[in-house]
Amino acid sequence: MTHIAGLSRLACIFLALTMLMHLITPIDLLAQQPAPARKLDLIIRNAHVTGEDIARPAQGAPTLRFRSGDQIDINWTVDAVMDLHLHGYRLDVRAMPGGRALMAFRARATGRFPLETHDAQGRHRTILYIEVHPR
Amino acid sequence: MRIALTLTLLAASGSGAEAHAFAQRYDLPLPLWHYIAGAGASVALSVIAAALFARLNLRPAPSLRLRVSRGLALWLEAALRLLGVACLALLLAAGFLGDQGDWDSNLLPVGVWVLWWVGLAFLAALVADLWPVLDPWRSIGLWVFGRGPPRDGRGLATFGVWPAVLLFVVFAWAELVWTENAVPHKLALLIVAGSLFTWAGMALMGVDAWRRHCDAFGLFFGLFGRFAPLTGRRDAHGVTLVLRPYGTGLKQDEPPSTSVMAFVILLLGSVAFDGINETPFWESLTGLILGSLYDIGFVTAFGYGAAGALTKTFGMLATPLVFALIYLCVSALTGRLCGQSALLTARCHVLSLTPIAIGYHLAHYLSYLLIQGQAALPLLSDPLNLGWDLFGWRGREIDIGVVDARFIWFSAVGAIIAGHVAAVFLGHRDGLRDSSGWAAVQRQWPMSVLMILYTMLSLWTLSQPIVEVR
Repeated sequence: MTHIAGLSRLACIFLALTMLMHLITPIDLLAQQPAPARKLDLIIRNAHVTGEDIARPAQGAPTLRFRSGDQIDINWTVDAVMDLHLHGYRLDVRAMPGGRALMAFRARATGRFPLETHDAQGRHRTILYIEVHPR
Repeated sequence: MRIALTLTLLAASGSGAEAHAFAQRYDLPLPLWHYIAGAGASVALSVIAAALFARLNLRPAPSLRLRVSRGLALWLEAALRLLGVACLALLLAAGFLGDQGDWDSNLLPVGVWVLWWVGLAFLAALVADLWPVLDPWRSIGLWVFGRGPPRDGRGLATFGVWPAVLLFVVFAWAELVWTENAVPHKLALLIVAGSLFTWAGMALMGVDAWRRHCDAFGLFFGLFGRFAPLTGRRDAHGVTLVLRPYGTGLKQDEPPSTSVMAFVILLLGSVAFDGINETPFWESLTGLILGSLYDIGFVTAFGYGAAGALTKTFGMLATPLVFALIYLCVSALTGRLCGQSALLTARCHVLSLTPIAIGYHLAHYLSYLLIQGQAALPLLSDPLNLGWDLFGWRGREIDIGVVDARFIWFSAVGAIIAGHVAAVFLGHRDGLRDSSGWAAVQRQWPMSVLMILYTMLSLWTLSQPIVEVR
């Protein structure tokens, strides 16, 4: 049964490594902080979004990052009539030029959610990703 | 300028879709330290395994056996066959008669892409492969045509499973490239066409011959099922259920044929491409290819949709070809060290790569199954959109918070590393068949390096933010 011994030894090593990975989890990820309210003003012009806190990685799409539990209030300013749709959370907001549209939600679920605009011509565009990271 | 054109092309190619494409995944990219820890663990475990195997002599894996009487086995088989056929009928009825709106408002796309393609593969790899008895095409084929005498059995043998390889390419195209694969009535039509094709094939060559040469799904689930701990063996007196350690079913007495090897590599490549095509890397590459297609006038002639589909088709076919090329080169090197031909070495080792593909498949789809799979509950309660509420699940919404990102990260890295360990174990055991200990370790090193690279590719894909390219 040396074969089984070999397997169980491997299993033990695997378990030990998994536990080690748990131990070296960065401390700040585990720290419990009160959920802050995040208020943002975002502007959509020519199908491009600008505003504070938007990360623009060299490769990939513009991204907003939050922590789970955050209360998020986004004020949208747009240059054309459009519907803003946040996937996953299934939020829909109608926005018009000159007016202000508010998208408010609590980040209860973690994940990476595309935010899409649906314009008057029926075109769908992903303009931004909203990432909710575990606290 | 070039970049601006590329971005415009990307935006334009993505804007054509009216309905939402099929259910998205909302996975957060694997954090860097998970990625590094996973990659480090795979290297460390390979080295440890090599050190262990240098001293080990392997014996056959133990297993538990349970006899099931012939009567009970027949009843169970009949029940599962009926279930399979009933599911096919229900899904097709839902596809033609049910709601034609979004992907999650009809049981057919959810049933096919989430429950069957992902869910049944999970079941096949983790518990047992039930597809041989659930397979409705085979069941109906057996009822209508009977097992019959094996017609042209010898003539077909030269084909191996090459027909199944071709059919799997067609299926992978429908899964990965076809943008309307979640439109219920179109998917239903494709299934009807595929069913008629399958039964025509069964009528011509016999049900068993079809299964041996042309059954792509049987091969796919069968391959995952060889990793599973539970299997059944039929004999004259009934069925013996065999419980065995994970992965031992992938042990082989004879190396698989070249066509089976091609099927496995095609599977590994298309599973990998399913992840790669959601990465920013692939998005940039798509931009470049679309730019070139624009330059040569393809976009003007055929439109953005066709150009996007062509680009994705290229990726879907190129990934398995690149995999095959790398695999054959590594096999040639290993073969040289072992004094064996490259092709024979490649055939001998291909099954030991399967656990890494299974680990990646589990990691890639776990959240998808747990989150998008919830869409099945309200749809099962009212499958034909007639206002029924059979199970009280009507109107139930998908809860995207059912699993936490940290749980997904740990289980993803865990699944990939477990797959890697199983692959290394199987690879070394196959190597130990004709040489023992340190000699085997020394000769296997190119394969071990390939396994580490393949595992790292899987981890890298998961560490990339998902970017939709439609």
